[in-house]
Amino acid sequence: MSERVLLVDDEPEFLEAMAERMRTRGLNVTTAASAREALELVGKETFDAVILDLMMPGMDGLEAFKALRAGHEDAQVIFLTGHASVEKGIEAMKLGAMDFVEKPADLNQLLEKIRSAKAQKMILVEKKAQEKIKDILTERGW
Amino acid sequence: MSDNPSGTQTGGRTAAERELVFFGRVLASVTHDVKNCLAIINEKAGLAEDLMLMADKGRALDPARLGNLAASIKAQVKRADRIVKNANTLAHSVDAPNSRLDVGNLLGLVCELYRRFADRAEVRLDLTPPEVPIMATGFAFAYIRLFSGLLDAGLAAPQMDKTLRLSLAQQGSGAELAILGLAPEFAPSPETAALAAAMNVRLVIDAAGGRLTAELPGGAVV
Repeated sequence: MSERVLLVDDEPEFLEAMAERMRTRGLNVTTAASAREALELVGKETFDAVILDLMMPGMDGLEAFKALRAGHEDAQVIFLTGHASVEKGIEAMKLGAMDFVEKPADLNQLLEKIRSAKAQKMILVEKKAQEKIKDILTERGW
Repeated sequence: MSDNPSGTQTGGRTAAERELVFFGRVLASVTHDVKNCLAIINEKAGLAEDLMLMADKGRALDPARLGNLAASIKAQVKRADRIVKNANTLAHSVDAPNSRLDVGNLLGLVCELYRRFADRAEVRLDLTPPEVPIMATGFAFAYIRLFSGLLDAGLAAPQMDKTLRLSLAQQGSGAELAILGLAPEFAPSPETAALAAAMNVRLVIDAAGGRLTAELPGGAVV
């Protein structure tokens, strides 16, 4: 099954080109041009990975990440950053981001990270399901 | 030009530190913009490679598609060149303490350098350039710092429609810069006000009208 990816960036040309290259490689890609649009989409659909630009007008990537995680704690976020320094990336990782990639990105490297994100998400979802089953068993005394 | 040439502390930073912070902030924004251009060029080049690989496997190459990719790459190179040129003009603004300046060009430069800051604040900068070149003799960096200081204050206090309308026009032997669309809480920082005073620029704030007027003197300034 192909990875479901939400790609978020305020540069439309970047968004289109990157999405097309990912689709060519079999990924199921949805795009959003702002953090607010991304948050709406995450509320409606499920994604294996969210690729989030750190610097965007209005709500920036870190703010968006916090809002996204508040409602979807198993969301796997990979930050894309135009910062030459790694400080922001480290800040994002400390907040719980899965990884970060510096722009211009190496697509193969990014695809690897997306696959890892999907695997990580599956583990979390499975763990959650097991906990739920355990809760039900305990609750009913089985 | 400095409002604090002795280097004594005001607001926790010396005048020299404040100028460095300004340069650092603008440089970080400029390099970020250039990185975005490079990222687009990288993806467009990658798309071209993908098309070539598909052509190797028998899919027909679409010349129009390749032409669009090349045009897009050229446009990004042009965009990056403009960004770097602006950064270069800023860097050279400290070269001569007293030179002949085109004030309209300096205002345009500051608006372009501040585009990303305005975008982040979701404020639109609408600049009406002067009809004729407005020349002055002075320190280019002082003008840049004055305009940037006023824009910083304006971006922090825009009116509801979030559009700052800037215009520059000749006024007698000097010029008048007007900024409209300011909220009543608009207030230039003490450093910007001090710099304006040092440049003999009179700042008039019409809080009710949401307007700032900066009366720039003619002749030699600072």
